[in-house]
Order: sequence, then C-alpha cells, then structure tokens
Amino acid sequence: MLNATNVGILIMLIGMYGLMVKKNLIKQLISVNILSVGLVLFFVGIGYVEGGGYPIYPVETAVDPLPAALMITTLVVDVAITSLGLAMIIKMKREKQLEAMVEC
Amino acid sequence: MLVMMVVLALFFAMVLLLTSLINDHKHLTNILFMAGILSPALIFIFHSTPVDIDMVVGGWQPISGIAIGLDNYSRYFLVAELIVFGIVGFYSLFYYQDEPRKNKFFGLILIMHAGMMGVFLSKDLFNIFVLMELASASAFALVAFSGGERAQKAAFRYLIFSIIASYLFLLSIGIIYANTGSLNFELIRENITRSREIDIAIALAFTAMILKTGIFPLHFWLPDVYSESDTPICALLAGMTRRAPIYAMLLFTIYLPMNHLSQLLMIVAFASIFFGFIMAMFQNDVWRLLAYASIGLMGIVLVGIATENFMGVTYYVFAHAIVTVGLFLTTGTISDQQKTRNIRDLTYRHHMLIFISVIMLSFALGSMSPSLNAYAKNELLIGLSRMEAFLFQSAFVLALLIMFKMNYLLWHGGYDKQLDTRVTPRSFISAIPAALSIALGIYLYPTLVLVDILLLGAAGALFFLFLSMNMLEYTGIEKLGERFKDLPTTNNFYFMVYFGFLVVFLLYTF
Repeated sequence: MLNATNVGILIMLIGMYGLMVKKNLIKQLISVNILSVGLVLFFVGIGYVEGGGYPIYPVETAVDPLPAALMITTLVVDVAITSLGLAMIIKMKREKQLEAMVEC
Repeated sequence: MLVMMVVLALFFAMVLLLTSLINDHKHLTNILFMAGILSPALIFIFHSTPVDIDMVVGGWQPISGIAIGLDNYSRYFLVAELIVFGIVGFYSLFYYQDEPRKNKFFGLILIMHAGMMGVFLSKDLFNIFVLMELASASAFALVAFSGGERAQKAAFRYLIFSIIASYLFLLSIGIIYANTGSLNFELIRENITRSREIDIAIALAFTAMILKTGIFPLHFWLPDVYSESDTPICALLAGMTRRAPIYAMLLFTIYLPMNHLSQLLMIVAFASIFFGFIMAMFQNDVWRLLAYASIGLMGIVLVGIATENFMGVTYYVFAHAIVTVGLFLTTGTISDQQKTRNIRDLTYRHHMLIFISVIMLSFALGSMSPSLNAYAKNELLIGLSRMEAFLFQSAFVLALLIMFKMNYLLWHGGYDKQLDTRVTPRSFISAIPAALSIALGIYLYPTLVLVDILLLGAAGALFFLFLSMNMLEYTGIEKLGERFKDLPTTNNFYFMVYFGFLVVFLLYTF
C-alpha cells in the first residue's frame, strides 16, 4: 500500500543501498541524508489521521502534531551532522595535499 | 531542579565559546570550563534525594511533557559521569595548557558533558535520542580536532556509522510511538502489548545501541577512533560516551518486553568478550590493546543485559568507567611524555606513581578483589547458568592475561635514565581513578575470593606458557584489518556487516 509510512521506509532503504554501494565520501554522506528524509516522511505518516485537519483549533479530528514537531529536531540534528561530515571531508583533502607538498 | 545540571553545562559551554570569540583570555576560559564541569556536581549533591525522583519538565502532564527521573540505576550512571568528567576536566586543564584551540576543545567537552547528563536523567525516548546526538556530535568533532588525516578518517567513519545507528534507533522510536501513543517510558510500559511491530522496533533499537557501544561485530569504528584521539578525549570516549547507549539498552530492558532476544544477546555478548580479548592479545599499540579489551568488557555488560540483571550492569558500568578512565589517562601520560604509543618502546618503570596505579588498575580490570569490579562481577554472576558462568569466569582469565602482557612489556620497555621521574599534575590526576577504585573496593567488598585466586593462577600459568612459546612477539592478527585500507570501500563493507547483523536480529524476532 502506498502511504507515507511505507514510502518513508522505502526511501530509507534507498539510502542504505547508497551506503553499501557508493564509493565517494560525499555520496555516502548524501545517502545518510536520504535516509533521514525517509525517516522524516515515516514520522509524518505516523501522525496522519484520515481526513484530519490542522491541530490548531479544537476541531473534531486533527492530525497528530507530535511526530512533526519531533522531526523539526531531527532535521536540525541532520543539518549539524552533515555540515560536520563535509567539514571533515574538506579537512581530509587539505591535509592530504599538505602532506603531498611536504613530500615534494 | 535536576534539569539545571544540563542547562548549566550548556550555558557555560555557550558563554565560553562566545567570550573566546571576543577576548581569548586564558584564565577566564579555564574558570568557565571548570565552572561548567563542577556546577552540575554541586546541584546533584544538594538536590538529589535517596528516594526516587520522577518529574515532568515544566510541570506538564506526563502524556504531553518530557519525563525525567532519578532511580537506583540512573543515580550510579550519573555519579560515574560526574566523577569521570571531573577527573578528565582537571586533566585537560593541564593537557591543553598551551593549545591555541583550547576554547574549542573545552566548549565541546562541556557540550558532551551536558548531553551525557541529559541522557542519564531522561525517561523519555526522544529526549534520549536528541541528547545522545548532542554528546556524539561533539565527540565526532573532538576526535576530528585531535589529529591529522588519520584522525579525520576515523572521525568520519565514527560519524557515518553512529548517525545511521541513531536514525535506525529513531525509526524504532517511531514504531513504538505509533503502537503505544507515547514516548514516556512509564506510559509505554502501561500501554504496550507485544506484537510483531514492537519486536521489530526492539531489534532495531538494540542493533543501533550495540553499534554505538562498539560491541563485536559492530566494533569496527572503535579502535581507530581511540588510537587517533588526544588523551583526555580518548578517556572520555572510552569512559563515558559509550555508557549512554548502555543506559538506553537498560531502559529498554526494564520497560519493554524483550525476553525473546535474550538468547541472541547472550551469543553476541560472549562473541564480543572472546573476540575483544583475543584481538587485544596481539596488539602493539597500547591504546588499541585497551580498545579491544574494552570491546570485550562491553560484552560482559551485555551479558548482564541479556540476563536482565539491572543492578549488576549498573555496578559494572560504574566500576568499569572509573578503571578505563584511569588506564587511558595513565598510559596516555607516559606515552605523551615518551612520544610513542608502541607498547614495546613504552615504559612506566621510571615513574613510581604511574607504575603503582597501572598495576592496581590492571588487577581491577581483571576483577580481582578487592576492587569495585570484583563486587560488580559477583553481582553479574547472579542468574547465569552453569555453562555461562564457566565461560564468564574464563573470560576474566583472558582479561588478566592481557593485563599480564601489558604490564610485562611496559616493565621491559625501552628504559631510559633520562626520563622525567617527577610527579607532575597530570600524572597525579591520572592516578586518582586507581586510588578511587581500590578505596571503594575495600569499602564495599573487602573479601578475597578463592575463585579469584584460581583465575589469577590460571592466567599466570597461561602467560608463562605464552612467554615460553614466544607468542608475545606474534603480531599477525594486527594486520588483519589492513586489507581494506581505503576509507570509502571499508565503509561499504562495514555497512554490509551492519545490515547483515540487522537482518539476523530481525529474522530472529520472527
């Protein structure tokens, strides 16, 4: 069945595939991002209620706002980790060049 | 009030990083750092009560707020955390004395401090995830700051695998939330009914936590990370950061139905014990040796989790945290002084204080009485079957054997009369954990057990056998990992290992 939770898990599996196959460090980091996007979709799917409205007014059926709120935190974690990983890749490359220059 | 522990550490971290942007004042940085390390301890001393505390942050209803609490288990974890960070905090004051990037190191250590305390205080699934990420993110950065290209590589692998494990843990949190409608452990226990989805969620969470703890076969990130980082960073990683996932596993075992996994966990635990100890036998780098030994010792903790012996796990984690920090700090002090990490060149013969503390810590690591570890080991033995108890005891023969080897080589290392024999602040601080471990051991467990003497005898006999067969020179196993030197390819390979392990856990639940 094609709903948000299932598609989310599918996207997570795509991320895992990338981690198993891709040989480029940046691509590996992007695979982690894809995994996290799948996770976000999965969580948003959990909170979905058939025909639910905004959870702002006291309406009769509203979607569950908690998973979406949790995902904001997860996105922050994801951004922080991605930037840290990219910084490490840049530093790795620079120090490799530095070592090559010293050897020359 | 307990929340203030986390808040204060974070506050001082922020102030430290901000003031260092404006004015790089040396003493101010030190004062702010120590304030951040010690003020949570003061709050803990004055506000923790012997009775259990259960509260929700901000006075909300448990269903909508973040629950925190202090019970018999988390109290020990917190005390261990405060002791470890206190000791390492003082140590790093002297270690980073002339380091230009000192404020960054100190700020990150404080953030890690906040994250760890937060994990041990929370009784809420998502909060544990966030705070564990806070602690791990600063751990990645600290490792990456520590050295050159090799440190970057180790840190990058640690980052990639740790974050994947965290996301799978989060997936399991999502499944549990979808089934029980709550993130609060107490409410989860009330609403949970065992189903296939819950079983999958528990399997996902356990594989993730096993990776984050560094238990065989998901230990691959660990030895590199240890051997590439600075002494205080390594002591923090070995002594504390790996305890957060253990605490998460403990909470899962307490609050969720997981007895279907205990058999598999027991197998993983014993595999980890024997793998770790046997690999440690053949290491040349003293920190790699200790890293592999700690993979084995984490297996011992997992035995306690598999038998649901919560108090045993808590005591062991407490005892082991202090001993590991002591071992890494003492060996780090002499290896920084002698500019080598190779166990054949390194020596502690010139330094009486470090010599005595390494000997005491070695016996404590092998769980000889009187030490805190011996007390914890006897707690862990409760609930094991006869066969398991036998395997468990024989694991300690191996642990003692490794310690014999380490001390033998350290004693016979490249002894040089030129070496500095004075007691420096760093060597004095690194001796504190040894004294603490023995003092608490004598206070709690002043008996000498017959089995311990037998184990010691067996380990001694084995050691002399090894010595006569020249086995100490054998280093073939150390080169085993070199086949996959290339970082991306190794990541692919290790991820397949992780995926396979996950599949085994998932299949086992069906």
